[in-house]
Amino acid sequence: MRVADNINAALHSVLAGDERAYLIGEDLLDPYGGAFKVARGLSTRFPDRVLSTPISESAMTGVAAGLALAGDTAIVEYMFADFLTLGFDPLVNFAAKSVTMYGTRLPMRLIVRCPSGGGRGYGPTHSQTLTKHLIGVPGLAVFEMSPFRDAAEVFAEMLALAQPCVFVEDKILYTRRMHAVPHPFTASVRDGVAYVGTGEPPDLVLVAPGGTAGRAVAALHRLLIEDEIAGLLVVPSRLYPVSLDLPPVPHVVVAEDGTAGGTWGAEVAQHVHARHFADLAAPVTLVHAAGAVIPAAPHLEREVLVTAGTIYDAMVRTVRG
Amino acid sequence: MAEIAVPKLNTNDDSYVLLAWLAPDGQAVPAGAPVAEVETSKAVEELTAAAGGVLRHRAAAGADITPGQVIALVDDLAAGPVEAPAPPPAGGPTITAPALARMAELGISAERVAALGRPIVRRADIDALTGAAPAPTASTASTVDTVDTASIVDTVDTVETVDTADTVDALGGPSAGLSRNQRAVARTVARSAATIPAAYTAMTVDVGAALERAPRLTREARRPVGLAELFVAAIGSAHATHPMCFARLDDDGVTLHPAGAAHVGVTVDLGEGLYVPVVRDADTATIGAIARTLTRHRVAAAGGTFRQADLDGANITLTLHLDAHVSLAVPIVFPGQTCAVAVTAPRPELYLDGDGRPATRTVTQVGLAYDHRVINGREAARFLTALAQTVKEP
Repeated sequence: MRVADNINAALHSVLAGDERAYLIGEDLLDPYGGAFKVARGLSTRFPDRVLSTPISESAMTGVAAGLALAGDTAIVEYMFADFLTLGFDPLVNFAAKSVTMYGTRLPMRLIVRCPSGGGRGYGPTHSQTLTKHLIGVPGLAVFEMSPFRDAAEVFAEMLALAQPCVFVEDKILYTRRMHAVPHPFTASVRDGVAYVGTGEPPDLVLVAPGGTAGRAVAALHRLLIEDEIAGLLVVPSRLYPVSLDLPPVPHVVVAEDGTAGGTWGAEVAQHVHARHFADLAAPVTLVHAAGAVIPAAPHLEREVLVTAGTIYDAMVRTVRG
Repeated sequence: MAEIAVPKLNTNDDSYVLLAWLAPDGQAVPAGAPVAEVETSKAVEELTAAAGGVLRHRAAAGADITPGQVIALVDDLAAGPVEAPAPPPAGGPTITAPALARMAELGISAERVAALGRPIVRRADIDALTGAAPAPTASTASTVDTVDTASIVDTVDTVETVDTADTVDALGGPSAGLSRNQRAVARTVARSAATIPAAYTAMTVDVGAALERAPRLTREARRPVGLAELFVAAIGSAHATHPMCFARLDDDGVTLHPAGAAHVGVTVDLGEGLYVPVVRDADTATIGAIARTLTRHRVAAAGGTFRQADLDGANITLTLHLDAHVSLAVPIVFPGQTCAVAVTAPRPELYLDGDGRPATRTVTQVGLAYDHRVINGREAARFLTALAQTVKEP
């Protein structure tokens, strides 16, 4: 099953299992089914609860937050995560604060789904990973789709939190297969965190969000084949708040797709330094996209974004010192 | 025996899904028959057998497949069935590059290594197998690429690995192979240099009026019209008066074949390799038609989705060097052609007007590389003058 189909199935199960659940966004109705076809079939099955909106992330997020405030379940689909900036006000100033600012905790079942990341030649304003701007907002949790976890489980976790959640979906995953890892790696899941390794005690841990996971596995495979270094990939579904339980290793690398500066990776590094300092031989290494706008031309885009080669080089540098 | 390889179907995906086989393994199929359905993220395409014969599947329905991958063989019926090599056994151990190098050094077979029963075989395991003292882990060149991971990860990166990693040359330095596209470029330019005694003439051309006209033409054509389109049109309109510039000289160096129409090859390089697609019948095409053709070619260049027909049949070439500040470019003359026109980036220039007063204008350097066996400097200058005048006042 492809990742897009897995998310589609998860949306079907949320709307089927909760009569007060809505899906809200641009061009969601069949036969179009959303910009990446993730909403396919939903408007036909749930015609009253799939709402196609005008082109305004601010409006659709505001409507969804209002539904959540009134006790409904609202899932918003953005066409591109870049437009989080337009939905930032209702999300941060209204939805996230509503959980606590009325004196007693108010459940807010709101999920904002954001097709994120580059690699498809969409250029500077349709390829960004803006996750770092969502870190540290009280009442707002950040999750990311991973090919190693069923989206239905992750949706259930987010809705159980009863607070606004942003769900980052790397566009490059949509056509990838769920649960695929190359031999001799295997994937397992514990407490909402996926671990991809060879079963041996690792020399290095690579922490990456789901969107980067494919590139991370390729880099680990090359590290094993060319350098005989065993690495363990750790992919948490919940990015923020950060909570990671790592095996004792001397080297930790974090690979994320956004630009450097105030990032999720820095948050992970701080978390790892605080808990695993005694085990570490060196500080946590961060891998980011270049600090530049993302070009549309594929060969230039590759120079800016995080690739398997970037991650591999960083891991070799970290281990070799 | 023919191969059925996966074409590059779009720019978005680096792998597709082999949705279904339309003809079963072992069935005889005629040439042109659809044999497989391939799903991209946006569409389902049918792949056809280029030649008739017995279809031999080399990938399973439902598998991830990548552009260029051979998914089937077609055995020639006349030649009788050909026993294709068995696919590599699945489930063998992962052998690291240092371990492979040590195996080669010590002459250890893959079977012996597989018999270890380990999922991962490292260099130390090979040493243990022979009782050999562990050798110092000198930097051994990798002979393993990571193509087998391509189905689940970014092929972009695996391609990178294949391109750069694989060999160490005799002097010990790293070496890398030319890309397929660049190998084709290399063959063409080497043949040109070996067979065509080329000369070069350049002229400064005022393109101010043309650039002022371009936005209006763009609106009318609803496609970008710029120097490329205007020069294709100018070259086309010079065909009637300068037929020798479009002629083909035989390998005998004597027989000339004039061209009945102007088919202009135009260089397109969007970073994914150099292509020279053709604008046909540029002598009669409207500027709108030329703009539509070039737009289609640019899209194809970005995705590498040219059909061979797009690239064949030019009898003159326009090479574009429009990157800012490029002032001179000397193109090669393509084998089988007589002329190549080079257009460089426009730039402002100070000049003296008719009354001797200083004024500014926008100019570009337009060069003509030509086969000196066919035409001489006088014809080159006249051809360039014709281009300059057409571009100024079509």
